[in-house]
Amino acid sequence: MYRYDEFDRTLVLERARQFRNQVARRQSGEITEDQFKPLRLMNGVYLQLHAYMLRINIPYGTLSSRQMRTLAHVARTYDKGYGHFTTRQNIQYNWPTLEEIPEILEVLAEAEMHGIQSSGNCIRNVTADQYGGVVAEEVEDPRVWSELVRQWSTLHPEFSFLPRKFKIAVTGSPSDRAAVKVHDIGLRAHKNAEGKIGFEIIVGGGLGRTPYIGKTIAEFMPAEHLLSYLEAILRVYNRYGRRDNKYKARIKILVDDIGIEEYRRQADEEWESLKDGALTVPQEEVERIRAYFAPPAYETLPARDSGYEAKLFEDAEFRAWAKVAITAHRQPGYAIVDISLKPIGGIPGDASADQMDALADLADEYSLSELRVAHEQNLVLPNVRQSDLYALWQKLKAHDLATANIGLISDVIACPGMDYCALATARSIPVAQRLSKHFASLEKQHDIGRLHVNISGCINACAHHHVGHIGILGVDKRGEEFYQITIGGRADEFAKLGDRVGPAVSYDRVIDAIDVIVNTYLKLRQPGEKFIATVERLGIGPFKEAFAEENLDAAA
Amino acid sequence: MAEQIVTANRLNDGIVVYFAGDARWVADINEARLCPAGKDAGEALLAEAKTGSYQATAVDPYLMDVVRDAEGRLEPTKYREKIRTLGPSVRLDLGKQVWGPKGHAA
Repeated sequence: MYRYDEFDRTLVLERARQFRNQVARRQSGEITEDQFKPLRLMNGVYLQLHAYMLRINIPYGTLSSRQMRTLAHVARTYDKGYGHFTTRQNIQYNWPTLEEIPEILEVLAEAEMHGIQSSGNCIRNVTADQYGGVVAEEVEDPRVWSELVRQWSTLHPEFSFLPRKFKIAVTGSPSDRAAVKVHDIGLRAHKNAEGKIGFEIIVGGGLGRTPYIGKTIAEFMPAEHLLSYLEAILRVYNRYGRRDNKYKARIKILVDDIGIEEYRRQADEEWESLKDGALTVPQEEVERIRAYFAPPAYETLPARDSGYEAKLFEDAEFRAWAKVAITAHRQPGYAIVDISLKPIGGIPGDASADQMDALADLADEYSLSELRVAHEQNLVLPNVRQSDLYALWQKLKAHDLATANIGLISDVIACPGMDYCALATARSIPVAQRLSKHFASLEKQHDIGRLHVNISGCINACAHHHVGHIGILGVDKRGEEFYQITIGGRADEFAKLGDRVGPAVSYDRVIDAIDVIVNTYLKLRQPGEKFIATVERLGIGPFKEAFAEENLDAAA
Repeated sequence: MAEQIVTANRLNDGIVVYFAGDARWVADINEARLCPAGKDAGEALLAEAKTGSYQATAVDPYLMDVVRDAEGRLEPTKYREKIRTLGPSVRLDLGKQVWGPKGHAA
């Protein structure tokens, strides 16, 4: 794993000390809230409905067991015993006091973690495929390049006051698990005909108020030019992004406004002065970073473990879990294990301090001390021997961490919504909980098959509802919570925005509405056809009709 | 009929507070100062709340609507403010709802 160098360490500790001083000045009245707010936001400190919220980056979703123990310690000592894993591979604490936050930041700094650039109009935490470096299908390890981008973007003087926030995601696999097409910039590492690594660079994707699928600005940017080209893209945005209007300030609006060809022309023009300059990535630096991500000490094992296969045969419950929770590892005899933070009726993405400690222990015992955070608000043990899977599963069960619903209808992505968030217009968590309870039967869920439900509590779309197979957006209608439902969205390499199936439905009817959609799918699907494939084959028509027939927008 | 009070979050811990007059900010909504009737009275109350060293206690004060329930207690009209007076509806063990008798469950 990547370890801080002296530069990183000094920077993070200094920032924690600075923040202690800033809090003291705010408390003494030396600075006003208007002056303090941008300072706290730059350290990930928000003010929510009931308390402050502290957002901590987990760069490219990679965590050591030691870091996970620190997160557990912070949850237990300074918060209310839990944390919330977000759709951007961060963790949020919902109850820290302002007075204690400087101390929390110092504790986190000791474990090489911080909240710098987890808010504000800067380049945010770089996210990546949570299976980076371990998945069988991978072309290039996205962590190496995410780390390079992290170093380039951290406290970048020119890009600390952008027109608006800026999010970058990286994948190195053919299957996109990082939603690169709906980020301000998405990077997809791939190889050209000569076997050289380069990047497809996608710009102007995004969700929120005006969703767009990103457009490709470069099909294959040789790796050594990655940073200089990113700098050129950011410069064009920094110059022409709409600073006059917050709702039109993201890069997606600029790209849409001038068109991708013109954006490319301007970026290329800017690049003329940057290309082959100081930002050219030296091969030695790439190798230095790559060395941190060198494969851990794997054992030489047979590709298939007979003990594991016997357990799959014997134990149906284990088999159901393994079917959805396990992904093929690049190292023979190993497996990638997804851990659901979506127990039936639970709060999506929440983990207790005890669960975090248990996971740190399990990572030490079974996963070479490593964990990952997925943007689906689940966790991953990336390096598990197949022969350990059965024992691991039993231990996960004991901590309520073995729900066999990864990728299924109850694996809901949900933002905190109006239960916590000051921006929200409706609740999302209780909708997720009711949905999960409604479809509690794992047999039923496995029959329905892969189906991603995303629930956002406002138009800002933290839960990526536009790209959910079923997307739910909570809105306020004269003080009441209503929900707009879309279907057919997807966040993968075939990214697409969903379409509305009908008028918004009330809080009481929203589960009925999902039921109608699911039943329509079950009635119309062909053998083995997944939900998204049925929607794509038939279009939204039959779903709209079924929705209209039920009068779902009428009072219950 | 809805009346108005001023609410904010407390600087040191972020908890929801209400303006009680005389530069005091209180955690209990029933101790909040009600806006007197009359045009622009709400703005006047907000202006009063925002005087002196209010910044040392209260962050971002604003006006909110309340009504009286059957027992004469103040109750917010908007769902968002109800959640602020109580705590998360999905964690009945957290927030102000554990302090008093009237929780989300009620």
